[in-house]
Amino acid sequence: MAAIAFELSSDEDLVAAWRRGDELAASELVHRHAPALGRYLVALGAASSDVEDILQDAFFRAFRRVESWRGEGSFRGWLFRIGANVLRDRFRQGKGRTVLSLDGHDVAHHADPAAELVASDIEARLSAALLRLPPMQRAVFLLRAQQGMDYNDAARAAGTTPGAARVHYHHAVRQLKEWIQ
Amino acid sequence: MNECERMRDAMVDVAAARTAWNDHDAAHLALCDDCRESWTVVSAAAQLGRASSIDGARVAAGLRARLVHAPLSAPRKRWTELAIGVAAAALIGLGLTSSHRATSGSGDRIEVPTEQATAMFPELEALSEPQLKVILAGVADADADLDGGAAIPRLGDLNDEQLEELILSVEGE
Ligand SMILES: [Zn+2]
Repeated sequence: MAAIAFELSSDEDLVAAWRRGDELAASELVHRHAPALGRYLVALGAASSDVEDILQDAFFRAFRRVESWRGEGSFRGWLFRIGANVLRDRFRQGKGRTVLSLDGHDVAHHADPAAELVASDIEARLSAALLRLPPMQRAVFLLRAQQGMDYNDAARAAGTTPGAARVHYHHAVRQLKEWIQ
Repeated sequence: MNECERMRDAMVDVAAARTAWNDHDAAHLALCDDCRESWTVVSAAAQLGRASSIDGARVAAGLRARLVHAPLSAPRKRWTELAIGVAAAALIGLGLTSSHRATSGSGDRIEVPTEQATAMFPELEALSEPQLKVILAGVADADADLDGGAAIPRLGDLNDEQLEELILSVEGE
């Protein structure tokens, strides 16, 4: 399949092509999802300088396990869950410079002042406030507000139910509103 | 769900530019402080990190290099991964604990009644009896690296979380 055709293909078709051994399909999936997944991981607490390494790990893990994605949810939701798991594992192993515990509230700081300089004041305040949220609320809020996922995909990506995701999202918005004002 | 909660849900689609406020919602937004504050948070979150420059080409290139060194299509790897996941699921389902293991040679050996395993896990029915026995008895000797970097410990060393990870690798993460 030509590269131009890949750009028009669905994730499902690309995964099927990858399963048949087409490496271009894998590259297209990376190009398609890496930027958004990277933004999500940084907002979750990954250091910007580590994020491309984390993305590589996430895609590597995803492609190794692609047989376990059976299309019952979106590939994107499945991939985002793997990405968050990679970040969590890195934190637990003390690898890299990931600055945030995804399990608790022992927040340190964002280690990338350059990135913060380009963020607007409200974004900087939001980034700081996000790190005060409980991990599940933070994840669900970002999957909804930053990534635009519906509750089904957000729940799958965060490892919870759609009903619980709805509760987490509304709690998070209320809490962030209070902290940011 | 009250009106402000409905608005908070709708904000995600507006922030993602999938839709725009209709007249009714725009009027509510103009009058409701609560929703205006929520909209400030949600719309800022939608922009979060947009200035960052993730180099997809570099990620793809690095990934390709890793795939060359650890090709995904190796049947043994895939088979071992499936075997470990299914066996771990079977073991948990059967409620086996470390007290059921007997050490033999270089690794743990686990006795699992195959008829019980296939009854609880229909995926196992596709396997022949010898295949099933090999999987269930030999899983502890597997040396597959499921995560591409960190070596997976023997089954007897796995904690509940790691076992859950194995099951997820079979059920779909
Ligand atoms: Zn309102």
